[in-house]
Amino acid sequence: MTNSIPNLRAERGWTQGDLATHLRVSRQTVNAIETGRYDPSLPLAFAIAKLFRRRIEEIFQP
Amino acid sequence: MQSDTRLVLVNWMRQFGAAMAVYLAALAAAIWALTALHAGPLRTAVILAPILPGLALIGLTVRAYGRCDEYIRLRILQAAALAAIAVAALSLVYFYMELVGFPHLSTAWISNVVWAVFVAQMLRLIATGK
Repeated sequence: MTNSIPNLRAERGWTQGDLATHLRVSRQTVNAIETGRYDPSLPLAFAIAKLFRRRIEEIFQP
Repeated sequence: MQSDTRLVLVNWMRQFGAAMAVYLAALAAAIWALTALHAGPLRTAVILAPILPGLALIGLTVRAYGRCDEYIRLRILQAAALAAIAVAALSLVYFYMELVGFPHLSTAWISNVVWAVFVAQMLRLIATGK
């Protein structure tokens, strides 16, 4: 699964650590999601969508 | 790695190291007691003493697991799974080696293999974040 998190994060000038803090997860988790090594749980995917004010399918693509 | 999660893992490693040191000291005392002490309550207590720090290793790890986020939890489970697979493979191989004359080993080696494989992966996760 691919995602547009790096672009959305860059638009806000956030580092992976900043995003991790907002989501209350580790920076390593953000890195793993961005690089496609880990697909987030549904609750975390919803949290990401809510944070960026997008729908989940706008952020994550199969 | 977010500071909280990294702190959890680093604290786990410190506490795990301390518990392992206590375990090894208790193990040395137990081995000494096997030959040096006469049968009785003291000898029994010294020989059984390593059980407590041994169980503490498990308790510390379970507690750290509960304090990590979902990805780190997955990595911890992967480390535990790989440790279990290593034990399954080694016990299978050595079972047949014993049949052809290799010396019989105590089941205590299982715990050593599990922790060695598990801790190696956790150290890698802490050091590299991957």
